[in-house]
Amino acid sequence: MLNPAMPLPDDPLDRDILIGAGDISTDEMYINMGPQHPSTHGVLRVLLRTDGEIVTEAHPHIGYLHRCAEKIGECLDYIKFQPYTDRMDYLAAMNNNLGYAMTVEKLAGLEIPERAQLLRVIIVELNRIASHLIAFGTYGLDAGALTPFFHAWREREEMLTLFEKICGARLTYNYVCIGGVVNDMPEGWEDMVLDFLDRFEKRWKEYNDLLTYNRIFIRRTADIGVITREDCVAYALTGPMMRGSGIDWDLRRDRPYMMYDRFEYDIPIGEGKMGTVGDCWDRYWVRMVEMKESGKIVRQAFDMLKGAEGTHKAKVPKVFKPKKGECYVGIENPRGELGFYIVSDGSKNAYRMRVRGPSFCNLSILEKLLPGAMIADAVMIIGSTDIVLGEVDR
Amino acid sequence: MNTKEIFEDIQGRVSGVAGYEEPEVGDAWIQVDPDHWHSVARFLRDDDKLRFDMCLLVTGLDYPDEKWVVVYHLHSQPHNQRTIIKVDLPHDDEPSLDSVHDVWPAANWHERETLDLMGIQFRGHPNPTRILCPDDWVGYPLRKDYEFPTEYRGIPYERNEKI
Repeated sequence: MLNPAMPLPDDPLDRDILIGAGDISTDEMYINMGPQHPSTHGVLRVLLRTDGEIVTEAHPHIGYLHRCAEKIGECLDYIKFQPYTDRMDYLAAMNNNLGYAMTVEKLAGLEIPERAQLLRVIIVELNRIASHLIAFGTYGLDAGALTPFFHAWREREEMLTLFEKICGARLTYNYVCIGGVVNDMPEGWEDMVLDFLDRFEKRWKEYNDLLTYNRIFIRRTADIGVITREDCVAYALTGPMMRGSGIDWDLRRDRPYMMYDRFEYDIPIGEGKMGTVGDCWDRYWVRMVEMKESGKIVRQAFDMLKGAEGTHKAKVPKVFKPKKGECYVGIENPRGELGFYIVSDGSKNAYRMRVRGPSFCNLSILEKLLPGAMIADAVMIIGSTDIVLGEVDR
Repeated sequence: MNTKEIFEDIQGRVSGVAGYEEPEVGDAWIQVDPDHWHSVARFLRDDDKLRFDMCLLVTGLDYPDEKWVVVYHLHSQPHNQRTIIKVDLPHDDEPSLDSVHDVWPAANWHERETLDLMGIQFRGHPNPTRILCPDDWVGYPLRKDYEFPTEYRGIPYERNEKI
């Protein structure tokens, strides 16, 4: 419902068509940004009420990719639901696999061998780089810079080849599974990854020359879409969105899971280097630095892997029935806190499967963030949230 | 503080805290009386010892012929602690509970999702409409007695002829 004072037809489709044709004043206009729009990063529709070039109201409409993954989770048994988690945040499928596997393992009380845990760390951190590469590349596109995108894609292509070598898939991996990972890494994979990281670190500097410190890009992002610390907490934003606003918080360090307490890495936060703390540039910069830090973690994990005990997978019974109970596990996804909340009634299916998609929560602040911005800035603000609609809609 | 300590701490200080439960495996939760939920929520957010300023997740649960449950996963940024609150509602056709969107703006969309998929109404919600399903969708998909539709706006879900 847009304006309580404005009578709207009952039929939702008629309502959509009629919006903007009512008795609004002549200099105000409703604009549908999306669902097919290159800057919305998927099928997101934002209904903007504009006064000239300035947005006065914004209403995100989501659900175009809704598949009711939670219902599917109730209808399938625990092991069969695993591949569906790939399809939520498809840019960080490994991380989604991990979140789900960890929740089920906690429910079932499974112990995961050290080697499996390190392989998981390696693969999810690599996936974090791959995911942030897209955020970096497409954010350049939003600003009108085409070249960085090709650079980002070149590196991502190499990463996808690495993923293909370890699990056979390039987008929906289903590699991290309940009990560990599907298979150990193939011979020579370690060298390929380390080789890639060497090259990547050099290219990371190029990205900054290309985009980060580009004068036009800074003018487009600095002081735009500022999120205060209070808003961050109130809207439960997590991940780079939160760190961009200067809140020093990372689940990997502050509520450690797996073996993250044994690595050394920095957690970047927004400092307002180019403008105000919490602007689009800060969020962008947090993602850039995170890519570098993930590389550090991967290197350390490979070192630790040499002395690691156990195999790549714990023994998991074929008919898998966790005890009656429920648990919630949150992990640090590239986009924020991914949470799985599973209620088990002791049968082979989950009684209730609930997913906290970080993009879903991060997107909800648009209603507050967009009013007052220019339409061109709205594009930059939506880009800076780095959403994946597959996860928003689930 | 863990959930048990939080329960013991708030029990005498705010009315409406109904109990504490621990499942066989997993996380424990605090049971809150639905009539007092809004004031308890405000207390949980504002009290200096608790400061649960983030609402991570709102979930609806359906136990047929028994109860509806709304689950809140809360996180305290200043104290780095978490807890789970459950509110039980009688299992009738139109369950409703006070909205806490004014306490935690993050709950706004989660409550809409719970309304959309589970059919639990949140009183005082500024925009109680469907969020994921189309506006003219019939029924609430996550209810246990949900019947899968055979068509949507004349589009059948199963094809009779082979392509």
